[in-house]
Amino acid sequence: MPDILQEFEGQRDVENHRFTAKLKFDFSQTALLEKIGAMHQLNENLRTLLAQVDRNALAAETSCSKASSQPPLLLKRTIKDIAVIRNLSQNLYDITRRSYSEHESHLAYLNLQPHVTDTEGQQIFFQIYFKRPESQSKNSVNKSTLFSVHSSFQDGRESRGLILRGLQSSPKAKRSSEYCDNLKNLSQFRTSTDPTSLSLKGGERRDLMPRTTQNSQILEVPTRSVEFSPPDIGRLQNLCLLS
Amino acid sequence: MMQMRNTSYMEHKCLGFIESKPCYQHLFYLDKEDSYEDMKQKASLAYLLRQSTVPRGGRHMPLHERLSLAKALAKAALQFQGTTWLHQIIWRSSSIWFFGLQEDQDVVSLKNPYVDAEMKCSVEPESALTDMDTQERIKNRFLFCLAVILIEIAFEAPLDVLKQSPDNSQCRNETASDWSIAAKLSAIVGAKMGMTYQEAVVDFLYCFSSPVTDLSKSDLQMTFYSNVVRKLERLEYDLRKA
Repeated sequence: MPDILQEFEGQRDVENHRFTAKLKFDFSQTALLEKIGAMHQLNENLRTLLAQVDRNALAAETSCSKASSQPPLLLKRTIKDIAVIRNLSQNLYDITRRSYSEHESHLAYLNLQPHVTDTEGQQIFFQIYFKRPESQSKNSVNKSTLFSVHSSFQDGRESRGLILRGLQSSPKAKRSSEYCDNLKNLSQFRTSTDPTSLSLKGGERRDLMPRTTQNSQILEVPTRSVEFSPPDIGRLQNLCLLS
Repeated sequence: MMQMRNTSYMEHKCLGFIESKPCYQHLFYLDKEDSYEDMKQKASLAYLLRQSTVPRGGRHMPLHERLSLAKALAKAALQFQGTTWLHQIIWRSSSIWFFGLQEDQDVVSLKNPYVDAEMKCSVEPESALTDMDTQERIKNRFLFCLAVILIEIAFEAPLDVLKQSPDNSQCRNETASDWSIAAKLSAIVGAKMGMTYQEAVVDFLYCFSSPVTDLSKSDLQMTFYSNVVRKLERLEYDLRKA
């Protein structure tokens, strides 16, 4: 009798174990199914996103490959910017030719990749290397000069470049002597970490140099005009003195 | 290298400006002393092209460098056309210069091209092209010169060398005019640089097949920009991506 009872107890344990295992499996199956379902969903999302990315990439490729697909307004703007470079470079040639007046001729090398420094395309950097012809420079110590020229153009619109405000200050301020005086006065000021501005002792700031493209937002903010300007080297009569 | 960018120009010595005008201002900066060392080591594009034809010891110009240079020159042509910087010369590869080149380098970097221009007190009339055939057949001399430079860049040799090259037997003729050589080479330049490049060369040679040949007209400038500059930019982009 006790053997039968033990056998029965044993079978019950087995049944309990099976039931527990089945129960555990059922629960884990649900979790697994949920995870698989989530993966399916994520896969669907990924597929949708990939298709969209491909479509966008294709659209971008197509727009790039079709050169004429640039909007006409943008193209006109590009041509206008190119015209500014052309006009400024010609003006630069004219004034430098007049400034090199001491010698008969000079050789100039112009960098063919001018750099536009503002979003309006009105301020350009040129790099020019001036060289006196060998025949004229035998007795000269300095035969050549390398200039970087920051050229700006104003077409009647309100000037946004500090350089223009600075340079268009009173005629008196353009005098070289006054520039030197102003340089002396700079010693009163405490230099700030921003190289384009000076801090007065009272915390007031004055801008000195034209802001760059990165700071183009700052250009929009009205700022105090510079009280002095760089020297007018045109008053030196010619650039030959520098080379 | 020598390229002074807006982030660093304030480090240079400001000299001032010349002739303040209401519309224009040119503020001059004197470059640093170390830039002068780079300026001493200069070479013209013609010289570099001639060097690259030397079978042994010649310096190699990588394809992407040549393509980038062609794009830069096309863009510069549009930017400086009609100005005295380019207009006073028949601009050729001998007018285009590179500075800071190292003698011992096998690969030539063609970044930062310069153009030379003589600044004289008196402006002389422009010199004419040498051969009559070319003079008669070209529609726009400025664009023809650009086409020739692009052909020279593609074949890595000056035009006079290309005239004599045994590789171009079909074009080989020392007495042939510049026009006829350029026209023949323009038909096969695509094999070297791709069809986009070839189309650009043909566009320059035949002035975009446009009845308007005056590049000062904005319509032609727009065609120039969209048909050539944008396409070369795209080609350069594709090459970099590959």
